Amino acid sequence: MVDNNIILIAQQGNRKAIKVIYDDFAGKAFVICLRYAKRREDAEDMLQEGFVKIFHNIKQFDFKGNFEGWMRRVMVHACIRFLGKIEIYNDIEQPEFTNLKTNSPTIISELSEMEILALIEKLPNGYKLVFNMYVLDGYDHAEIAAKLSITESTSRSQLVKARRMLQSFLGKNNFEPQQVLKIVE
Amino acid sequence: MREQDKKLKEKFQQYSIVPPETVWYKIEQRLSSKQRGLFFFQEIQKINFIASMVGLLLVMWLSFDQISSDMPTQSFNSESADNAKQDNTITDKVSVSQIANSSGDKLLKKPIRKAERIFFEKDQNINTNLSDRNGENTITNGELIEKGIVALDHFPLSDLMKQEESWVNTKERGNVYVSPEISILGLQKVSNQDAQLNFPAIVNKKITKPQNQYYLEVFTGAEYISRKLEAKSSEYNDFAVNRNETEKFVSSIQGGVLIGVNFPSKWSIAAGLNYSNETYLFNAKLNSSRWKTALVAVDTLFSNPQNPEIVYKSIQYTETGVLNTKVYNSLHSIQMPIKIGYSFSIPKMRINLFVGLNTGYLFYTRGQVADLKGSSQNIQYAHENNPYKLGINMNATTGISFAYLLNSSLAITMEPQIQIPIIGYSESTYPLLEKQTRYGLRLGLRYGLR
Repeated sequence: MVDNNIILIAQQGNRKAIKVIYDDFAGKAFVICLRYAKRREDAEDMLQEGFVKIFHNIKQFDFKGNFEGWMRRVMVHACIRFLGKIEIYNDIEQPEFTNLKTNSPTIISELSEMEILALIEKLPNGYKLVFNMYVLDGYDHAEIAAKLSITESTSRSQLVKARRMLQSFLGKNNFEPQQVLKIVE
Repeated sequence: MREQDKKLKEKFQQYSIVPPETVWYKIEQRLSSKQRGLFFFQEIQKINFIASMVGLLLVMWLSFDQISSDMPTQSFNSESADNAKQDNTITDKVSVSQIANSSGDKLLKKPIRKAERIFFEKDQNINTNLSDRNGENTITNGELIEKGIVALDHFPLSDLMKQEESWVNTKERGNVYVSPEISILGLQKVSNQDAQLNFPAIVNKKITKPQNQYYLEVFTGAEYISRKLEAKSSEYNDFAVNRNETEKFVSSIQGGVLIGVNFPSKWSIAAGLNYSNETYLFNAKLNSSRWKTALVAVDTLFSNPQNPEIVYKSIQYTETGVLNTKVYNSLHSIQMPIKIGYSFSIPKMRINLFVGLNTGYLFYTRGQVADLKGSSQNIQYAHENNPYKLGINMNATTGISFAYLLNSSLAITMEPQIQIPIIGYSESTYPLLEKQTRYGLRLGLRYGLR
């Protein structure tokens, strides 16, 4: 956890303080980016964009909230913006996934982080986006709808479909983490 | 939220994967380049400010009395006239008594200034003739004299004689003219009788010192603005291309004031302040990807980049009934022009060619005003949350100013001008740089202060 004094110094533009903040948060931020990105290279670009945005706007952090929470939101925003540049929104409406199994014996939260990342990486862009925002980044459907310019009901349905697809990955027994973990390696 | 989701979220809160070191190097490079860019920009602003201040100080220094260290303070009085009378050289040439009595004492108890010259202010062609040292164009027509302004009574006649040679030599240095009368006094053989007959103006005219002419100008105008967006880094090239194709500025209306000085040397300097309301136009097909990009972009440009809530609302526009293909956005800017000009005159008209710098401060204070057939509410709502934005640019200006003289102190002005971008508008965090080329026409009213 970064001390408030470090943040204050970083707000003055001190490069060492900025590096301390980067070192403290880069690992977690990279996970956020990996969750949203399709490729590892994209995640690195997202990370770069996010941190540049964080450091350019760090003076706006007013110490009223949690600094890491603030950075997370900026980072998520950078990811969404990055995806926006490649017109992600056009494929948010995915074709119905008909063969979904909902009675998978495996509970996703019991998987390791890397395994979950690998699962998420397999989701179509639209599902992945909503799943990430809602489940892992704490946005509600109204916020997601506003950010992605979709309706709340669309957001809900995307989430349901994402869950079903994840479960189906597990239930179909075709999930082999070692083969799909390329993104995080 | 489901229990399972909570566990998942908590799990990922602490999960960390070390990114490659190259990421930090790239971030560091970008932070450094931004700071360098900002530094350079700030320096340019400082230079502009200092240049403006130096210019104004120079104007003041040239405009107000500068006591010459090498010319003593003297006053004209009857004694000097008497002395002059006793000087045969002078009395052979002109009626000194008439000169001495010509203009009253009120103007005369002033220091003689180095910068002070005697000149004709109205008709320079006539001046040239009158100044002919060979006497070929000796003044024979009192009417010509009437057009000139004579300053004989400003100096003791003896000093006039001493200084005459150097003054004549300064003839037409810049716009300063030596009094032809002095030249005549010094070099031409003119009898007293001739002087009385031919030079009544010498006796009657008031002194006009060569002086700077200050003016105040109020103007209004319109501009066509051609805008070009440039990506600060190559990764935003497509973004810039899309926006250049979908958005353009169409016009600005403006009004402001200028205060300026016309020097006797024909040079002038002016500085001022003007407000400009700029309206720009989106011109893209509904629901095209470029339309969407443009709308995202405009929000990004003028909204708080830190506030993601605003930026992505713009996408809603495509879904909530933006039926028109044009959206207007209204901006405000305050501009500070400073310009240097060179003037020449034709009858009733003063023409000034100028170059200068124009520093603009762009304010974006309120919502986008959309001319929409569909739902405009969303657009206005989206922007009402925006904090004001500020950007600074600098343009080089050139143009020509026509001032039609209504009377000795009032003129109507017309000023076509073009501004070429030097430094573009941009917020530090925004990836694009906006450069404006402006083609404008201003109409104004100029009042001579003295």
